[in-house]
Order: sequence, then structure tokens, then C-alpha cells
Amino acid sequence: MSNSHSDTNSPVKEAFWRFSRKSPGIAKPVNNTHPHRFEKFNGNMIPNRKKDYDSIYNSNNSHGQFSSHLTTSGDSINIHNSNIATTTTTTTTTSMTATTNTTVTNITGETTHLSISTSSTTSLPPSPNSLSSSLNSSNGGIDTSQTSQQQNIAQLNNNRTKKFEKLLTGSNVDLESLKSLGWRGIPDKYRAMSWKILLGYLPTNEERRDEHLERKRKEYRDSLPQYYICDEKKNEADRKTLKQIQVDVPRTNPGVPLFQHPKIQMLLERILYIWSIRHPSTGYVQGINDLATPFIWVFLSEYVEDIMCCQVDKIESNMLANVEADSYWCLTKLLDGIQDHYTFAQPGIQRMLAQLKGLLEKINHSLCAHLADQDAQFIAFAFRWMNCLLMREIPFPLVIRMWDTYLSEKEGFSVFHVYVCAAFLVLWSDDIKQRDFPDIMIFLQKPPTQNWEEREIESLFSTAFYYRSLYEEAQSHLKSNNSNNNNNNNNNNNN
Amino acid sequence: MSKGSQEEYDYLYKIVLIGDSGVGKSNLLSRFTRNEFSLETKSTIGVEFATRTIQTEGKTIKAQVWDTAGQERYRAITSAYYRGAVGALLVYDIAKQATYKSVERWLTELRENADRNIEIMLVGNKSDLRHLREVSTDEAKEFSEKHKLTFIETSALDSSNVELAFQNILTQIYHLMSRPSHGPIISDEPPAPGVQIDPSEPSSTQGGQKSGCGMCN
Repeated sequence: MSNSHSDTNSPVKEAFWRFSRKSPGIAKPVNNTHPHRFEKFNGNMIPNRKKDYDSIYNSNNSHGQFSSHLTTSGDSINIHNSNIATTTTTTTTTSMTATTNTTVTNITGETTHLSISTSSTTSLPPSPNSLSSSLNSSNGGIDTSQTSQQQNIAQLNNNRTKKFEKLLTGSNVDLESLKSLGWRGIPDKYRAMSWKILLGYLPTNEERRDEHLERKRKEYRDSLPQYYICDEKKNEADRKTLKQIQVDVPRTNPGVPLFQHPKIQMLLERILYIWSIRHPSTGYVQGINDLATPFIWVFLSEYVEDIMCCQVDKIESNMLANVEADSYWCLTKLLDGIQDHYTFAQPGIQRMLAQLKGLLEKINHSLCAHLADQDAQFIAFAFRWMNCLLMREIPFPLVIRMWDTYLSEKEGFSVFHVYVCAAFLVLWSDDIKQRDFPDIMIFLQKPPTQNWEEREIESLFSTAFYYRSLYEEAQSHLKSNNSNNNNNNNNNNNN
Repeated sequence: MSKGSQEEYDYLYKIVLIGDSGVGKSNLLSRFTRNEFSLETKSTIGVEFATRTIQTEGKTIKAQVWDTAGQERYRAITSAYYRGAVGALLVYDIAKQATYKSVERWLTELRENADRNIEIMLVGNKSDLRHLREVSTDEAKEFSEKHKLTFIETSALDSSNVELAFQNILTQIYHLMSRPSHGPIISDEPPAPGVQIDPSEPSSTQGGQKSGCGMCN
């Protein structure tokens, strides 16, 4: 993969950059020489603006999809314009504004997910978060055109937030509309509530919510004495489970300071322990600790002004207790759908790996052949992708964004995730094909996603959506048995 | 990151790192292969892989090291990687008695899943935690003599003995493999998923490079 940080004047690359950006208004950064392309902001990893667009272009282009976007898209990207500048010039501004208009139309209309055609990716409205992060990323002085673009972005943001507001403040939330809207990202302000509804934890009917929450939170509180009984009174298996959890909690999401706070670590420890003893057929399996963290992060953000710099000690204990109970129940809901990922020999993961391989053979046969030729087996490099749902490969803030989509999908974590993994693997196709076995393994253990931003996730999802549109029928025999498990488990847990 | 590990080597040996969760296997590997250590290492899921080439007695030896998840649930996945391995570092934490107690169980694991002649080294890691020591050096030494294992104490944190541990086991493997009387280290069973290298025959993973023929004299 090219690690060049230099700008290019290649019109195709420039056009791709503007396409992939999807949110208008920000010029490609001119100075890409900064070696640290991630900055610590309040201790959290925030992608900075110095991106290597060339590498994204190169890897995406390997399956030809994005180049076709460029020529077939309905918006005004002009790949033949050889004079596209690398800073915000009138030329780029004009076309970007046009892109904005296209997007406005889509945002205000009732769109559903993506259509199958390759050009449809461009009609995905930018998510509110990517827009706001783009706003912050202005590189250089703000001129009139930038101001107007920013106004457009603010307008888009506003429209989208209003849609969520309208949807969620009604007396009965329409789940299908929420899924449709949530697929493309949920504004921070509405994420906690949306996730709870999407998971089936919070009733869609407003009247029932308070009573339901109170009951579930009490139910969780009532289970806590099982955790607090002294070690001697726990049976050996439970003691062993707790020990394992205690080994893993301090090394859960070590890059995010929130999860280093003792109160949050205790909270996580209790959630994992209670879940484990209540699900003895699965028990605690390493990786489940990762899956609990997005819930804690998102639900805590309901109670603090800025989750990025929240001071845990200042949060009232009853609020933390609510976060803990809600996180517990939502983790339970999530795991109910993928329980066979963690039972003995992990059949759910084995099945997903088989699906991924089958899919890749159809999508990119030469890549598949190279992997086979090098004896790089899917279980060796993609096991963790399934076990931790790509949480180890993607920066944490983007995992939150990914879950917006997964939770808006019918079987996001078990079925759609396989298509996402296929898109993820194909993204590195050129890199992989140039490597032999050891280097393939080392590369795929730490793929270069450290500087990813929302647009990369959105590209990944649109590719995954496209693959599913093409191959769903062929894969249907591999569809998870989880749907049955899901229903059974959900029924059990709704009691 | 280099594309294609094209460096020349005389022998290619596959090593596995096993032991309870949290004893420092991943840090031993990162210290040996990249000279890195992190207090913020996430748990290993399934297996992870790294390589390093060393010199011993005028020979170039490439080690392919498979780091395995310590939790029992992953045993079904990780034990497949024992096959074809010519060496195992069985790691415990000198500051956690329980991880030392598990050593016998890990030996059974190896006997059941690994090749008969696998070279095993018992490694007491975290030797920097002197004030917290729960397993005495003598006790571990005695245990290893009884079970015919080699033994070393290491600290991935302060680097002590890490290089030596890998150097020793690779040299021992080299000696063992070079002995004319030594039988081939080949499992009777078909290769398990994920097993890339049989040291006794040229592997497809070597891309036509000089073969790591472990049986050559």
C-alpha cells in the first residue's frame, strides 16, 4: 500500500477524494507531512485532517467499483477536469456545492438505504457526525464559499437531527422508519435512545417506557448480590469466570481513557460477571468485554455534556447505575442474537468464516486464489474480525458509527457483518496480492485503518450493501440459524 | 512494512506460545520480534503471528511464532496450531501461582495435540515483579527437570532473558533436528487448519525460497 503523503493532482484521485468525502466544503489538505495522523484529544483518539487519500483510492479502486461511481454518479464530480486544484478553489467549490444540493434532495426525500446501482452510493446522505467533523476540519482560512458550504452542512445536519427528533418524540416510534434513518448514522443526541429501541430494549410505545425501564433496572440491581457474595461462596466455575474477567477488564479498550477509570472498570466487571453466570452455556468469552464498551460509552453520553472529556467521579451514582443496567440488558440483547459465536468451538464464527470465504470466491476470485496459494487460511486472519466484530481493527469512535448501521439491520452482527468483512478484505486486495504468507498475516493483523474517518466506514458499508444485493440469494443457504435463536432468545428475554 | 519476506534463511521453525491468560505471551512475542512492550496489550483472540530471523552457529534460522489466546474457550481453535510446531514456550506468571499450577494442564494439551518431539521451554515471565513473586525459581527449575523441559525466567517489560529464551529454544531445535538419529517431527494426522509449516518439508508459504528443511544434516 502506498504510504505516500504527498498530494497528487491526478484528476481521478482528486475526484475520488471529493466523491469519497461525500460531505461538501472541505478541501483536500495540502500539507500531509505530519507524521502523527491521529491526535490525542482529551485522551481520545480523534482523527486529524492529514489523510492519505491516495492509499484509499488505490485500495478501493482495486475492485473497480469506485471508478465506476465516478463515471456513473448523478452528481457533478467531473473526473476529466485536469485542473482541479488541491486547495479550495472556485472549481472545487462549485462542484462540491452541487454535490450538496444533490444530497439535500435525498435527505429531505424519504430515502431507503441504498439502491443496487453502483452510483447509488453517492446518494447516501452524509451522516451528521461526519458533517460536523468535517466542519471542524477546515484547513486554512474560511472564505465566503467555505462559509456558505458550512451553512449548507449545518442545514443538512439540522434537517437530519429534526427528523430524528420528530421520529423519537412521538407517542409511538415507527421502528422501520428508525431503521431506515439510523442505517446512515444516528446523531449523538439521539443515539442512546435509538439503540435501545432498535435492540428491543426500550418499548416503541412511549407510555410504557418509564415503567419498563424501572422494572428492568430493578431486575438488574436485584441480580447484583450474586456478584457481591464472597469468593468462598461462589462455585469454582464462577470464581474462574470472575478471575478471567478481572484479567481482561483493565485491558479493555486501553486507548480510551474512560475505560481506565476504576468506577467504569468495576461497572464493566459486574456486567460481564452477571451476564456470564446467567448464560452458563456460553459463559464469559474474551472479546465479549469489547462488545460491552459501545453501550457504556453511548449510554453514559446521555448523562454528560461531553463524553470525550467526562469526569466519571462527578457523575451521580444513580446515573451510573442506570448506565450499567441499560448496558447489561442491551449487551444481553446483542449476544442473544449471536450466542453461538461464543459457545463451545464457536460454531457461529466458523459459519461466518465459511460464508466470508464463499463470498470472496465470487467477488474477487484472484484474491481468494492468492490466499489459498499462500495457505493463508480465513480462520487465521479473520477469526478476530468475527469474534470482536471488527472492533479491534477499527478506531473506537467509528465502531460506534458502525453499530448505528448494524443495529438498524435485521441481522447486522451476524449476516450483514460478513458482507462488511468481505468489503474490508477486498479493500486490501492489492496489498495482499503482493505479499507472501507471513506478510499477509502481519498486514491483516493490523490493517492501516488508524486514520479512518466516517467516510471510510460509509464506503465500506455501501460496498457491503452492494455485495449483499448481488450475492444474498446465493448465500441464503448459509444464512445464520441465528434468526431462530434470536427469536427464541428474544422471547425469553422479553418476559 | 516490507512486502514479501524475501530474506534468505537456512531453517524455518514454527514455535507456539502457550499459557494462561494474562501471563505476558503477547508481550514476549512483541519484545522478541519488534523489541516492543506495551502495558496496554489487549487480550489475544484466537491466534496472532509474527516472525523473526536469528543467527545461530553460523546458520540463519527463521522463527514463525504463533501467539495463542490463553482462555480455555479458544483451545479448540488454538490447539490446531500446535501441529507442525517444533517448539513451544509454555509461559506462566511468576507473580501468579495459579498460572504456574496450570502448567501441567498445558503440558497435557501439548501431549495431546502437538508433535511427539516438540521442544518445550518453561518460561516464568514477569521476573521484574520481584516483590510480588509467588513462584520460586527453584520450584519451577525442579519441575522442569522432572518433566525434561528447559527453563528460564524472563521479563518482557525490562527485556531480560527474552532474547536468550528464543535463542536457546531455536538452537536446541536446530541441534535436535541436526542429530542423525532424530526421527522426523511429523504428525501422523493430516495438517490441521491454520498450520502453515511442516519443518520437515518445503512449505508452500516459502514461495520457492530456500527450504527450511529441518531434517538436513
